[in-house]
Amino acid sequence: MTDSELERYIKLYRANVIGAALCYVKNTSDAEDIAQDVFFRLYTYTGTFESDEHTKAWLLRCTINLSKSLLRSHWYRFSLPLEAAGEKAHFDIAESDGLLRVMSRITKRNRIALYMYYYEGYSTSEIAEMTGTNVDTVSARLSRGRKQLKSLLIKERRISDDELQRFF
Amino acid sequence: MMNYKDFFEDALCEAFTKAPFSDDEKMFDIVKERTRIMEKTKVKFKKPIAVIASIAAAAALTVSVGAALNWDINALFGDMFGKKSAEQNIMPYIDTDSPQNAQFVAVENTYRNSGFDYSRYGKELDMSYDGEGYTLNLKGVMGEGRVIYLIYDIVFDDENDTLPKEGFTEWEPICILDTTDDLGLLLDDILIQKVGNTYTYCSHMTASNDLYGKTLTVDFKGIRRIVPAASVKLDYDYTDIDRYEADFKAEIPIDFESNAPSRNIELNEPITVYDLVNGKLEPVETVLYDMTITPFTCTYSFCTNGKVFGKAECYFTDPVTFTFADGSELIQHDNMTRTDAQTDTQTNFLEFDQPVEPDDIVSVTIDGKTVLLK
Repeated sequence: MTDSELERYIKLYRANVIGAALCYVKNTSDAEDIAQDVFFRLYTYTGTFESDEHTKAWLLRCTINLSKSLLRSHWYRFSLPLEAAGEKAHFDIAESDGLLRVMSRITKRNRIALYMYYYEGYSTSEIAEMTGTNVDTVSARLSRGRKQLKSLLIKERRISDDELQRFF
Repeated sequence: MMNYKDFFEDALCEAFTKAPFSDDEKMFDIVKERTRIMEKTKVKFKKPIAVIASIAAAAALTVSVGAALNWDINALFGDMFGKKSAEQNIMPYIDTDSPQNAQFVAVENTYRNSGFDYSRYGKELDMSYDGEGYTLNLKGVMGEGRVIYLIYDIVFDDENDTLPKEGFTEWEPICILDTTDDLGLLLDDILIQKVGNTYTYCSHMTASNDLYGKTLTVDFKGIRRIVPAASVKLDYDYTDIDRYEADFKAEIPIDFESNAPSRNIELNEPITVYDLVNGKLEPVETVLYDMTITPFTCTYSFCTNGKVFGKAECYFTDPVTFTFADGSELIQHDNMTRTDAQTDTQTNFLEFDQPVEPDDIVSVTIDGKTVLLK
């Protein structure tokens, strides 16, 4: 991949990659690490892409895989020399008092399904392929995620007690 | 409308505001610098290590059909209903301090159908698979239409395999299984009981279409050992301890009795459903026009009188209360919602926590409106 292509893809999809990573990790530093690793892999990737959408799907699939690896692996800490990273801003999502906190409290597998479906606009079959599961599992995760989001919004007092009583 | 895209945009905006990430230019520089360092040091990236990659090769794999089984289909399936899967059980642990959350999960039903004859809706199976360190026994299958329940045992050879390890005080195994047919199944595994080294599970499957007359192929790929929901608490995902490989495809004809009683009710009942708009529940007036009740499920549809659903829209309804002749009640939240985008109709699909006799239901209450059925 040429430098100009890398530059272009970073410009197009950096926010999408970080957003998907934030569906898995609990702080912004890890999301930054994952994003750097994803674009590094893109830069060194020797395959070809049919279109920008194909590239985006590849990047997001790579983000999901690396995020899962990060969560499962203790050795995943070597990714970036400090001098190259400069000063990384670190923010624990748990410290959020807004919707980021609500988002982080949706079960991970439901959260990524909601993000990919509603934010990125992928179909359930595309999400199933990216996340290595089947279409109905994705549909169920969307359904559960919606309910979970509702309950979390209630818990965060974004729905009044009157409405809560009415609903339950 | 609850706009889920806006929700994510707002949430992510907060992250970008509070902790500015590397901008495009800096990200480009970092990637280039990493590439330079990699080329200079010729360090290769590590790949995730398959924890037990060697187990599959060493496994003694045999599939057998053995002697007749000796178990009670009613006892096992009766134990299964009302229990929840590990994934469902995790809900209360999202925040143990929240009684509201617990209230959302727990529903007190007074209805019990202890005399339900599950054998009318299923059959015994006698299939087993010997893996390395464990045996899988398929014991029975039961269901109707779109829902199928498969009972199986995981029997570990060695008691050591069932002991706590790696600092976790408890854990449970869970089968990695999938269906290879294009039946559109959703899988959910429920632990029914543990006796010694034997874990009995029910794999609960929901299909997109009727399964009668079809062959269900269940592909057992392995067993994961996970920390159950009760031990997770601060994390919202399961923790894999290790896994056993499996290579077993079970072909199960769904050929048992197909005359499950079904009760279809045509309605024309105005009901209010709810949409989430900026975190607030907003009422939406609809008309409930159809309901079908079977022993294991209830499907109901409502329309919005011309308002067309978009892709990201899904309305919530009140729980539905089914009242029986003896006054007992079964209260169900909708388990699954199917919204047809670009139409004005939404169909909700309930799976009962207890199997019912459809003809025993005397009324259904939704949105405070009671529809008498007898």
